[in-house]
Amino acid sequence: MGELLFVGLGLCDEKDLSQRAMEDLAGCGAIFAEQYTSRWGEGALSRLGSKLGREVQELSREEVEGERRVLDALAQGGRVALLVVGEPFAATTHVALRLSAETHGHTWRVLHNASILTAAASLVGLSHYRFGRTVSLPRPRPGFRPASPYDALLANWKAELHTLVLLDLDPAEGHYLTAGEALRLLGELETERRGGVLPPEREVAVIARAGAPDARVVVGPRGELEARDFGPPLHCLIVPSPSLHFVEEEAWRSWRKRAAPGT
Amino acid sequence: MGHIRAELAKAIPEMMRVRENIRNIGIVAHIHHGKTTLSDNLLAAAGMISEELAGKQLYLNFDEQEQARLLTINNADVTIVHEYEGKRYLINLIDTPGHVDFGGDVTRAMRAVDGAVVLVCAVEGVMAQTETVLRQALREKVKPILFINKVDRAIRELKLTPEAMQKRFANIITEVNELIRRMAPDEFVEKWMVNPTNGTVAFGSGHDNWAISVPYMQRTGIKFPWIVDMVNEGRGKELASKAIINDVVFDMVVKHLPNPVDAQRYRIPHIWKGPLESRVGKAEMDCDPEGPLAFMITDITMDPNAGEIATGRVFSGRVAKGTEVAIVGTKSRNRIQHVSLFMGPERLMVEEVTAGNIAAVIGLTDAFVGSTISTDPEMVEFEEIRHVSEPVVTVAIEPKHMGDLPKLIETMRKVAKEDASLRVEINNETGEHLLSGMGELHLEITQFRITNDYHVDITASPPIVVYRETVGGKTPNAFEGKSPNKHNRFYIEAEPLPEAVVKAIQEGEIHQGKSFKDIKTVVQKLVDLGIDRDEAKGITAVQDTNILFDATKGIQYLHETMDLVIDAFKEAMDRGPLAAEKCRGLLVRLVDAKLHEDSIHRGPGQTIPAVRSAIYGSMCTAGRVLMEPISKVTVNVPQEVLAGATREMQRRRGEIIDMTQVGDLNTIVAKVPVGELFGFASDLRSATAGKVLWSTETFGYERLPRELQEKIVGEVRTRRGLKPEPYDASYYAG
Repeated sequence: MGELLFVGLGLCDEKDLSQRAMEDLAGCGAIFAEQYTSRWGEGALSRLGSKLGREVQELSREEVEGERRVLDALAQGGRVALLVVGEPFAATTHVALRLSAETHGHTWRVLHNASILTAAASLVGLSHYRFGRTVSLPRPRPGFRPASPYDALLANWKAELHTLVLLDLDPAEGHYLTAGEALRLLGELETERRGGVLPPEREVAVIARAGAPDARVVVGPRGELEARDFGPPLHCLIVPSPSLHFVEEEAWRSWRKRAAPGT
Repeated sequence: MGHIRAELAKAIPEMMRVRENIRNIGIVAHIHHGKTTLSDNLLAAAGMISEELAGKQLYLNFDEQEQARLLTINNADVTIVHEYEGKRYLINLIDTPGHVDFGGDVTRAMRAVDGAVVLVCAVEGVMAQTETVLRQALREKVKPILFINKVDRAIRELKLTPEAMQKRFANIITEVNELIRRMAPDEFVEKWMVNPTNGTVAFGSGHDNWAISVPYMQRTGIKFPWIVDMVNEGRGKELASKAIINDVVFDMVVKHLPNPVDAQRYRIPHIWKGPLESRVGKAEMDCDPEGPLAFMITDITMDPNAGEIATGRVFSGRVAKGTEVAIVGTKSRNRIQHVSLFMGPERLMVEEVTAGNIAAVIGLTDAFVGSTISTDPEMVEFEEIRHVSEPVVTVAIEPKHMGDLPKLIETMRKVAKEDASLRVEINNETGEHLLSGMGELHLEITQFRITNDYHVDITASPPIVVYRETVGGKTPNAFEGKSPNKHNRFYIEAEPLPEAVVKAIQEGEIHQGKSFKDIKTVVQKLVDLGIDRDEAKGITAVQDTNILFDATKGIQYLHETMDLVIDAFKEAMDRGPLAAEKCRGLLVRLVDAKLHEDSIHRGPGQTIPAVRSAIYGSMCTAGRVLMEPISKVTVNVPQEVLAGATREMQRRRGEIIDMTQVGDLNTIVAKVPVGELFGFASDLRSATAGKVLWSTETFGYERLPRELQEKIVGEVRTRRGLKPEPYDASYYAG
């Protein structure tokens, strides 16, 4: 029976992999990677391959969800790795694969790494325990323009909790929802649902390329930021609670003066 | 005749304004009952073509293709001037095809007219299509009158005594009235009965060019036995000069068919559902030439020189050259380049055509058959022209020269625009260009047009039958469909939709789509047809003859996922799990759903496959069934070749449902699968030494015999590039 190794890739590129991960990968029979739940830096995957001296096979969404490729490789025995950007099970979808592997009698292990779920809050300086449900915002398509992301945001706001808003991405199609588009869309939903969370003057934070050397945080009124360009993907947003702790407050204020972190 | 035409060209533009003196009519009949010959002789007598040419030339059949086959395919329209009791009347006559393959054309023509001359052959009597065309007329509130044709043949061939002949006529009249009683709108059942004494019935011979009616006999003193003698003595010409066909027929038309002002008063509420008290509503009710324009397109033909000619009825206002009009329901506006009235294959150019007339227009490039044209883009559209029959035969078409491919695709789209009973499907994946129609003949003619009129050389596959998929029983347990990410589950049941509901959808009583203007009426309609009220309330979408019901209660997030569920339903109904054919008569019920709370995990890529799998799986467990189209075939043969004809039908899985005999003439009615009818025409001719008259009409879909299903499914799938065996339930559960 085989062992399925879920390897978190972190947020930026091949330099984010731990020593342990590099050693474990060296002993793998097959190394798969997916790039649809998030995206690693340009060319990082092939650089990792060269470093390991091994081929890293990228799987499509259909192939990961279909499970066949991974299960077949496991059936050969030995260790099989699936590389996932960020932290493996933060992308909810991979638990299904882990359960299938178990049903087929395989063991599994996980190598953790940084996730946007913690990185965004850390960067901005808000307390992790004061976050409510994370909300993903889908790109509107014909027949699919859900309002429930706004409702979840509203519920967090009413409970005096922060909200991390993750934005739709489709690397296969090269489509990434930008922070500007997302803020406009949330503005439309505000006009429709009238919950009062996101009037144009509400201050929000845009986090661009968290974990990368050119990461950026911008704090400002929603109405102003929706017209701004924050550079290449990935972007996400934080809508802060109506009441901030005084240390949070201070951290938040510090962003008003600065354009980018670490500068 | 030249001067008559010139005179007409001058008089007509004035006459079309005298609305009380206008009649818009069509002639409808069973195939080969002599409609086009009658029309030609009427025209000849009215001075439109020479008498010598009429009957030989088949004037109305001006399309080369039609002349070669001696049957009428497209409607060809003419305007005639007729004098009656000292007044001149303008008669707009629409010719309609008799062959059942072109039934869609008849339905559309009926929207444009207010009255119909129903033609019945004295020898054959009331036939299947007589009933069909009469139904099409009555459904549009078009008033019928009767012309019993081919009386000369009845006299010569059946050799009946004058008394027996009159009895025969009486039988035909009774049968026609029986049909009217059954199908006419309630308020007209009594008023629209035809009756020889009041002059709503005429008898004659379109071929020999004579006709009589009871009022005409009274006026002229002609007696029936004298006519019998004249026919038997071969003195047809003399008869034609005494019993003048156009006088008899057009007198009857003028006296008994309504003018547009009277007709629109009861037809408008039936064919237009906007507010009648509005400005345009009032103008339509009054057939007001000064009102806003309300013009409905009922036919589009392609003229090699002029391009697209759109023909239709002006219900109010005027269609004027040079004006800009809106194609209601689209964002398009077109400028009208030319306006004309038809005179056979020629068009009479005019400045404008006013309310109550039939106009031919050039310039409406964005209009389709059925479009409403108005000056007001917000005008409520006319009711859809309902034509229930669906294409049953398909051919795959390829250009002979690959360079012609873009032109072929454009041409196929054009022919489909001209003829609403054609379907065109261009599949970029398989590279197939499919043309579907009402029968083998319909498709042959269309192919001829593509080569001849549009100059694209093509090759076509042999005709293929269009099947339908349904289920034999009920899903035992709701079938679970999972999304690819495994985070969403939908639970669905499938069963056959009651046939009464299928019929109501086909007749347009229940509309297609997912938004229902008046949901209460729809629910009540379903309840009346035997659907449980709680179920009916869940009606969510209608796709073809299939309905999706939502039986769930209060599932969080389902409302924002429902459009995707409907998309999946439509997809599944368009492409069944057995052979990728369309589904028919299915009741699909969503009973439960488990949805991921974060919307990003239940987008189109997750929800659509999950629902589709659930529908396909539920169809598998309910027992998938393939249905084939059936034709009702009526064959008339003399006794000596009866056995040959019967054998020909039996060896084609035909089931004889009726056999009658009058004199030497036998009529066999049989149900035969469309798939078995390819090549029937020539086989039947040789089996009967050519002594045969036959016709077909569509008879719906029936279950394919079980022993054939596997074989046919394999064939269809292979043709579509699929593996021969369909997937089973376990595949859709995965």
